[in-house]
Amino acid sequence: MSFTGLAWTTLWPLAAASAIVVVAAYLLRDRRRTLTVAFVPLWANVVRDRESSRWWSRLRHFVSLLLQLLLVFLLLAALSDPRRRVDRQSLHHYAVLVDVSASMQATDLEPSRLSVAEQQLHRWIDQIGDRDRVLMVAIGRDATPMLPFTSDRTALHAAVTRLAARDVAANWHLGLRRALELLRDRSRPELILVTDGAFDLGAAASGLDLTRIPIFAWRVGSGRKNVAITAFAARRVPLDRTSVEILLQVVNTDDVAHTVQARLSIDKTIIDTRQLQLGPGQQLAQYFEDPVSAGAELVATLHMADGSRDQLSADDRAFALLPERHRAKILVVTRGNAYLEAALLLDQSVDLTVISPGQALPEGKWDGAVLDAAPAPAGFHGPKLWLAPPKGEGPIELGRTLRGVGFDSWKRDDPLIARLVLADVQVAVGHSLIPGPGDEVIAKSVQGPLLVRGTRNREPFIALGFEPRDSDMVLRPAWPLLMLNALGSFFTEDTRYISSWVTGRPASIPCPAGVGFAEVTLPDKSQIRAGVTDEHLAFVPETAGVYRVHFPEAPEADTEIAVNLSDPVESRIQPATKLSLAGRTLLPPPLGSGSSGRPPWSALVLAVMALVLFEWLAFHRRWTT
Amino acid sequence: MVDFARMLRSRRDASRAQPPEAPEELFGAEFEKKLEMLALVSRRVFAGRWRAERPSKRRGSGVQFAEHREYIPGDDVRFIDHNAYQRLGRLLLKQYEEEEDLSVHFLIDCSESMAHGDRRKFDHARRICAALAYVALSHLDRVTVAAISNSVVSRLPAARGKPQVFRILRFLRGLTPGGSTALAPALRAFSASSPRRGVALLLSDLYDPGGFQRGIDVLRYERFEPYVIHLVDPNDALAPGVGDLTLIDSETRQACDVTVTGALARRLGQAHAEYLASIESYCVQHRAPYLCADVRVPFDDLVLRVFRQGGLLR
Repeated sequence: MSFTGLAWTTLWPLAAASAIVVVAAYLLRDRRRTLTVAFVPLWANVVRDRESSRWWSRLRHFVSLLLQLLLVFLLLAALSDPRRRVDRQSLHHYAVLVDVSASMQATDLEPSRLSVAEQQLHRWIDQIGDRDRVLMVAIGRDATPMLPFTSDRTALHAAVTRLAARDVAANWHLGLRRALELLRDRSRPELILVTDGAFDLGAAASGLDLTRIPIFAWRVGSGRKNVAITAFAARRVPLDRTSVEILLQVVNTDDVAHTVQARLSIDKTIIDTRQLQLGPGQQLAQYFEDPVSAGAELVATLHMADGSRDQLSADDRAFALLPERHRAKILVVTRGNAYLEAALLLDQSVDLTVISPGQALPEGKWDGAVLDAAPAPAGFHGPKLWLAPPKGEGPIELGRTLRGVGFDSWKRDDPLIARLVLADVQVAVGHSLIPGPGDEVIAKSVQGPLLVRGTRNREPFIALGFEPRDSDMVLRPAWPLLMLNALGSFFTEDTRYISSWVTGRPASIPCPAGVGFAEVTLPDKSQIRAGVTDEHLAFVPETAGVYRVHFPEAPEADTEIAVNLSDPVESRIQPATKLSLAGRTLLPPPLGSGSSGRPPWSALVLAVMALVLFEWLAFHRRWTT
Repeated sequence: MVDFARMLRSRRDASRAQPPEAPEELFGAEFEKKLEMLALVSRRVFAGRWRAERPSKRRGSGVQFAEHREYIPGDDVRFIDHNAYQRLGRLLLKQYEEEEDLSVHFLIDCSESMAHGDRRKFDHARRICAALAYVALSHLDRVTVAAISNSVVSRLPAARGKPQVFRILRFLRGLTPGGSTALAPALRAFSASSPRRGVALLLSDLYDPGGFQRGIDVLRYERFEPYVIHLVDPNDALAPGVGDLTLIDSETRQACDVTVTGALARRLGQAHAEYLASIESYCVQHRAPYLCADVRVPFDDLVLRVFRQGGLLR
């Protein structure tokens, strides 16, 4: 015998209180009502015949008390839910794994695959045995237990109602492994999978011993019509930072061709629409290039050209964000150089501060300095572009004086001189540069290096061996391009920027030092709190859309990230024709297969309570006068 | 009779100005109408048989011949039987039975048990007593009313003549129930204070712990002619409740613990019926006319039954 109900520590006080109540009721009952009659001897004659049974009558009352006490203790025993051990061994333990991946949002079944699965689960829960225990796990990116093993149908129905599909792939291997762990040493374990089967069950079950457990599966879904965005990313054009290039990758997972319209909008303004013909299973990549203002939100959407809708909308929309371009503060030290200033002003994202040589370094944080034949101001640290560095003042030693030279060789693929034509540049006078260890010669004449890049004291520099006005370079397009490339090489923030993240994968976002956490607003406007580790905010987005990250400790660092489904496997919504595992075809669980036999305790409890009440009211007729 | 009704109405109108002494409807207008009806019925039923014609053992001036006796000087010569003198040559005096009026004693039980419940037995007894007293008065009988419990509680001196009915009604109206029942000592006391014997109508529920027989026997032994009018309330045969009860006697306050069940209630009904049967049987055996006066039966019907049954006022 075992007791699975209330603990004895709870039952004993209940027993004591109940006994007190019963005895009090008994004493109350035993107090006779007094009534006046006309002639008692008439009654005495009647009662005299029953004198012999008086003792039995008293005893009967006492027996009645004992009976009621017994009934109370039986009720309490019922609350302790005593069961034979064989009963506990005979009850089922079901682990129900419900697929809540993105494909379960498919609308090939009305209203969705997950809703149909929920309806089936509700029906199944109503049919299981009262003593059967059910564990429900939502299989998404993680295996999330909705509730532990329980027989409570109300809780189970509530758990089913709470199921919600997410824009992630299902981690079935993890789910199966956890289910096996939880079913270990349980009586009559059974595994029930609720899924559309749009995954490789064999791969998910690899390494797991599922042969000892009966496995059933409900397969939901029937359609396959879906055209999905599997990749959407944007970046600034390295050689033209005022423009961005956008990648849109589209796949048709259906077995028939579809024509779709891909629309690209920036800040809610459609900037491009393309009609794409996609054959069965065909994947297509499209590139867009467009000047984009800083801080833009890019959205790509797919629409079927015939006006219909595909069966999974989660992958018909993708987002990307471009950061606001950093506005660089550049210090220019010159005695006056209109060519230089004109070239630098071409970059609208640059703030120039011009000082004369020998002038004190202004207050502020500098992203770089252009030193026009002048030494660096005292206290300046950062990238430097030296034009004709003074002898002994610059980072590099000057060689011999050169006259009437030009560029004879250069590194064509180096971004510093990308799109520059240096072959025709003539230099009247200059100096050859003597590169130090680690320095890189970008361009040179036969008489010596003229353009060198290197690093001193962890500060990058670019040195040009001549004063530009001593050449015809300032008259050529190469001059402003060289300036822009040089400045662009100083600022590398865009290169690390990720325009969109993928659901189900950790998003790692740089954040300022000293920040401990962030409040993340999800696309559905709900909020979560995410921790910061190693100056990076890490969390796993499970819904496609734009997330807003707020750092309460550093509001100036607030940012946004875009997250997309971008999972070709989840976009392939075609359900499995049948689910099989280890050579076994998984069948739906038979309804009503649970442990039958409602424990009689509940009915007995009600019957006993009714009996006690009836006995107290009917036999003693408290309502009579 | 018309005059009597007018008298009753005038008395009633006069009494309205005074606060009532007893329940309003005890001797109300309806009661008075029934009294008049009963008086008329009694005249028709008993015409020529009642009229204070009860023979007595005393010899007197009646019309019924009794015997002869020798003439003694000083006797009234009008009573000498001249026919006998012609035949026998002796002076014989004719003697006649002296006729005297009948004494009717109403003994009404005023114990607490008579008022048990809603006083139906007590009121019923008083109405019956009033009706029969009126009939008796109308037949020129002497009527005495006494209230008894364990003694003579109160007593109305002998009344004769119909106008005395108002005294009787006033007396009855002034009775209040109380005390325990002890018929034997009460009737013995009544007998001791009543030199004239006659019919003694006992109106009682006969709930006498000492035994109703002793009371009836006292009347018999004291040479009254007992007439038992047994007031019966069917509610006395019903259990007052069900379950564990302590029953208190309305008179003696004696307690009795019972657990009343349906079966016990049925047995009580049987015991009550047996009790009534034993009273009737006893009365029949001892030649005491018995009438069961069920409170549910109107009093005038009961009075008519008394007339039909006979034995009273003969």
